[in-house]
Amino acid sequence: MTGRVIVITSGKGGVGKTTTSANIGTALAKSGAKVVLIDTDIGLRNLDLLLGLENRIVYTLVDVVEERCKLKQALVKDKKNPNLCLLAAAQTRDKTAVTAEQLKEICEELQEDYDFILVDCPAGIEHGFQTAISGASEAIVVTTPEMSAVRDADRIIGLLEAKEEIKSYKLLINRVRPNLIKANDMMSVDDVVDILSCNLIGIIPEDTGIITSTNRGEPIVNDENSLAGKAYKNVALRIQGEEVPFLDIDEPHNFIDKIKKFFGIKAKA
Amino acid sequence: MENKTAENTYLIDLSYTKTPADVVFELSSVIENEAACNKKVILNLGDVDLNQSQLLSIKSLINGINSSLVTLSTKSNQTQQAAMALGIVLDNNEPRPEAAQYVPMTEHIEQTVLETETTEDIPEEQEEIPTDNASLIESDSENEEKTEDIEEKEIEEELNKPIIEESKEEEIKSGLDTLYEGSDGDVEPVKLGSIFDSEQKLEKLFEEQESKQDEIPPDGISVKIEIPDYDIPEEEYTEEDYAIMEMSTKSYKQTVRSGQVVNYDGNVVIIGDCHPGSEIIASGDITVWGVLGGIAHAGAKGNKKARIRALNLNAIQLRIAQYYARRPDSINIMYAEKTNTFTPEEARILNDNIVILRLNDK
Repeated sequence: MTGRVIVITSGKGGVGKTTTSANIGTALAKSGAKVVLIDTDIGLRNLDLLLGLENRIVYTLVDVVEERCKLKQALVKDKKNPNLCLLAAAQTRDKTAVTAEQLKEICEELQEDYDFILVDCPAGIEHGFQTAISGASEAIVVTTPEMSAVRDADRIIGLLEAKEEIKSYKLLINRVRPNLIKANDMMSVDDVVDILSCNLIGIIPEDTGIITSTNRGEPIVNDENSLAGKAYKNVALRIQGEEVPFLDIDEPHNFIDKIKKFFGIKAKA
Repeated sequence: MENKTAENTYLIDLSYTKTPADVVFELSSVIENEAACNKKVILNLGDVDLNQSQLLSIKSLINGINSSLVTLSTKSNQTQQAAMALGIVLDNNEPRPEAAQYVPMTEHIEQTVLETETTEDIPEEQEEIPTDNASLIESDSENEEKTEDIEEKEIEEELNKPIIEESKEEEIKSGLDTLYEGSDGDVEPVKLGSIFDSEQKLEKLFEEQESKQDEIPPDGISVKIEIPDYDIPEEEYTEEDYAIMEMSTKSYKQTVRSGQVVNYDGNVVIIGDCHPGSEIIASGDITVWGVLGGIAHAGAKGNKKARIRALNLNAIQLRIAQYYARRPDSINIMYAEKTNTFTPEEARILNDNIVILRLNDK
C-alpha cells in the first residue's frame, strides 16, 4: 500500500490550516481510512490541542529525526478513532530541527502503512514550509475570502507549481460568510477561484462552533449538526475521489426565508 | 461618571453600572486618563456582583497604571466577600473625597523621601524590589526616620493628630476616674460594640466560606487520581532520598513560558508559574512556587524517590524516573486558573504509580 501524502498549506497565518488538517484527518479516519497527521509547525504546535491529545505526547517529530525513539513510538493514537494517528511537533525547538530530506524519509516510511499522510504546514514560505512540502505529492491550499489571504495563497501556488513533486493542488476556501458576500462586503467564492485559477476542493462556512470545538479539543466533524463539519466531511469524500456537490452554505436564517425556500421561492438578496 | 480627585487619591464612581462587563468597560476608559496614574484609587461599585477573580482582575487593571486600589465601597454581598478575601479595605459609607485629603499629605512625604533617596544613592536596591507595595513599605519605614527633613508645616499637621488622640485618651481616663456615667463613658462602649459586631460578622463569613470549601473539592483542577487505600509509609529516608537532598539546587525567578526548557542536573526550584508547553527536567526534585501547567520530569536520571511539588499542580504530564502520568481527558482546562486559593500538592511514586498527595493532608 502506498499512501497519499497531502500537505495543507496557506502562506498566511490564521486562515485555518490546522483546523482543516484536524477535521479532514478525522473525517478520513471516520470513513475507515488509516490516517497520520504530521504537525510540522515546530515550536508553535497546535494540532495536538485541536485533537485533544496534548497530554499524551511523549515523543515528537524531532525525537524521531534525532533517533531518540522509533517512528511507531512517536505516533499518538486518537482518543476515539484508532485509525487516526498524530505525529506531534516539538514545542521546545524550532523549524531548523528537521530538514526536508528527513521529513521526506518519514513520509515514505509512513506511506507503507497508512492511506493518508496529512502534513500540517507552518505559516510562511521559509524553511518550515519547504520542509513540510518536501514529502508531499498533493497539496491543499487554504485561503479565506480576504485580499491578503488570497494574495498569499497565490504566492504559495506559484511555489507549489515550481515544485515537481507536487502533482496536484486544490483550493479550500475557509470562513466564508454568505451574508457578507450578499451585501458585497466580502469576495465571493467565484471571485477567489477566478483570481487564483485553481480547482476548488471545498467551501467551509464561518462557524462559531469551530471556536468551542477548538477549545474542547474535539474536531467539529464529530458534531453532526454543524454546517462546517458537514463541509469538511464533503472535502474528505472529494479527496477520496467521490463527486460531491458543494454544500449550500447559503442556508436561510429566518423562518420566512425557510418557508420561501420550501416553496421554491428564492430569498431576496 | 464622577472622577473626583484630591491630589493623590482618585475616586472612581461606577455605582451606576449594572454588570461586571460594564464595570470593566467603564474602568478601562477611566484608566486611559493620565490623571488616574500613580494614584490611590477609591472605587465605588454600587450593587454589581463581582466574584473574587473578577475583582482581582480589576485590581490588577488598576495596578497596571501604577495606581493601587485602596478602598472599595459596594452594596453587593458577593463583592464584599470577594474584597474581604482579597484584603481590600471596604468602606460602605458614601465616599468622601474631603476625608481622604489626609492621605495625599503622607503620599507627598513619601515622594519627597523617594527623591532624597535617589539623590543619596542605592538605586540598585530599588530595582530589585519588584512590587509597588514593597517599595511603599520601605519608604514608609524610612519615612519615620527622615521626618526631620520635611517642612515644618507638614510636621505640625502630622503632630497635631496624635496630640488630639492622646488628649482624648486622657479625657476618657479622667472621665472614668471621676464619673461613672458621662459623655465620654458613653462613647467607649459604642466603639467596642461596633468592633465586636464586625468581628462577629467576619467570623460568620469565614465559617460560611469554610463550609463552602467543604462542599466543593478545592482540588478540581489538577490531575486527579482517586487515591485508593494506600498505606502512606512513614517518612523514612533511604539512600536515594539523601542523594536528592545532597544534590545542588538551582532556582529560577521567572515565568517559564511555552517552549522554554529548564534542564538541570540537580533540584530545580521555580519561583513563578510554568505555562503549558514548557518543560522542566531535573535529576532531583522539582518545586514550583506557582502554577505548574507544563511537563515536569523529576528524577530524570532514574531516581524514583524524586518528587514534584507545586502550589497548583495542573501539569499536562508528570514524569518521575521512568514513570509517566498524563492529565485525564475529562479535565480540560486550557489555561491556568488564576486564583488566590492554592492547594499545594506533591507527586511521587507509590507502589509503582505516580500519586498526587495534598501537602496539607499530612
